[in-house]
Amino acid sequence: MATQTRASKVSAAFVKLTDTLVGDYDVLDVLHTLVEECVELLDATAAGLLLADPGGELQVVASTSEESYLVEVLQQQAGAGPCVDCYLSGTVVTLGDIAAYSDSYPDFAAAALSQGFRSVHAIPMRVRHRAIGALNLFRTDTGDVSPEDAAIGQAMADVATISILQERTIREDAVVNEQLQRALNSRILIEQAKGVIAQISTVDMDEAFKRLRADARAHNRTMRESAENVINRRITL
Amino acid sequence: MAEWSHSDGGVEDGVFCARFLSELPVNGAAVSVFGGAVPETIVCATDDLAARLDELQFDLGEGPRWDAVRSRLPVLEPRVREGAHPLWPVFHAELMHTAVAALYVFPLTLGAVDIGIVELYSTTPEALNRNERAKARVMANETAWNLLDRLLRLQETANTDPPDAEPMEAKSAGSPLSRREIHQATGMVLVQMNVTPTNALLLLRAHAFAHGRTVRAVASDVVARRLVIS
Repeated sequence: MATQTRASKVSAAFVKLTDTLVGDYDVLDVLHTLVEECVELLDATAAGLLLADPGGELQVVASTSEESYLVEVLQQQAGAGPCVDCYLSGTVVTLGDIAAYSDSYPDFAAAALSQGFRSVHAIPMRVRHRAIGALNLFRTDTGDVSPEDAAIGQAMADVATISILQERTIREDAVVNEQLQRALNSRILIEQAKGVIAQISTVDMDEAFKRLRADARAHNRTMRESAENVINRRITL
Repeated sequence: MAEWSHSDGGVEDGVFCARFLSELPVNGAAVSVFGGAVPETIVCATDDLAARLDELQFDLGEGPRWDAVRSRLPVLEPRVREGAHPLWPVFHAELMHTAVAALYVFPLTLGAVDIGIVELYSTTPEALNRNERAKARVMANETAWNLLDRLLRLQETANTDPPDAEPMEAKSAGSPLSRREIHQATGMVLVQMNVTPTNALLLLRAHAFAHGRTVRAVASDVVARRLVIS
């Protein structure tokens, strides 16, 4: 059949995302779908999403690869990098040529360049006047993202924000924090479950994550539920 | 079994409790931390009654704190003087000798790890409205995060970092909780030692303490299968 037009791909991505928003959805499932759709749809090689923890520090909660090379680059810039600037300012931060920022963000630039990432686009996740985290798009080429990609990326980040906060709860600050904390907590649970799987089945952490996600999908569970089952030893993956 | 003792962080214990009192309309707060199989230690209490309520339940082996520990869910008793309390009759009878009218107990958990509990009391019935209860849950979660962060920062402030510490690790001086290896190692150790997630983390910490290393460094070794905790 004919190749899909850009518009139909974008709308398909949003349908897929909103499909994950029904019923008792898990925020992490939504965020993983989101980062995957970002690299499908946009001119990006890798994507990652960071949320602020109770100490105000950014934590990687979803990324297109669970392998440490990407997670390290993402977490590295949580100290000083475009992501934290984006989060603190609540505005988009683009580094069209990461190499040119070796002075401003030495650790981040070194980590990103060593993995072949040469440009990055950081999009804030905003609730009214407050940012709760940021979505990062990495490319292996230098240059800024196109205005169209930037707009679609922002729309994706907005969907992610809504998935975390749900419209009806946005009015209360305490509830905003509670949802955020739940997402961060789920992430910890998943890491613990990955450890259990890695130990029992002698696989690496990336494979452990894949098994966790496959189980969640196969049984129509959230990853959080699968992780709880693994830790309580009700299931073995 | 290992304990969450040796709290050598820079934060004064009292701040964990004081925040609840300054931000919520309650009269007292107590935070206690689990020590694995052995007795729990009270981290702080804002007044004698708050401390006594916790001790009483601990000595009696009954009370809402135990319900919160077992279920890992908050236990809200906005009108604790009224009605029967079949799960904790003795503690309830003791409560009637105090001025306590409302009790709110929140478990401090992070992932599958149980860190402790926070107990709030008020002499006014229904002291907390819906929004304040949500705020209390958020504050309990922040407390869990901060307590665990402090407990895992073992050795990190000292300049005794072993030379084998990974360079990446040395550079990112953020919270140890941001290190995925710590949570992954917890999962591995709970299988290796057939213990609860809480005890697995306690064992990691105890190993780090005994060897003068950071919890991060020990966790990295466990994940890389260079080290088996035994």
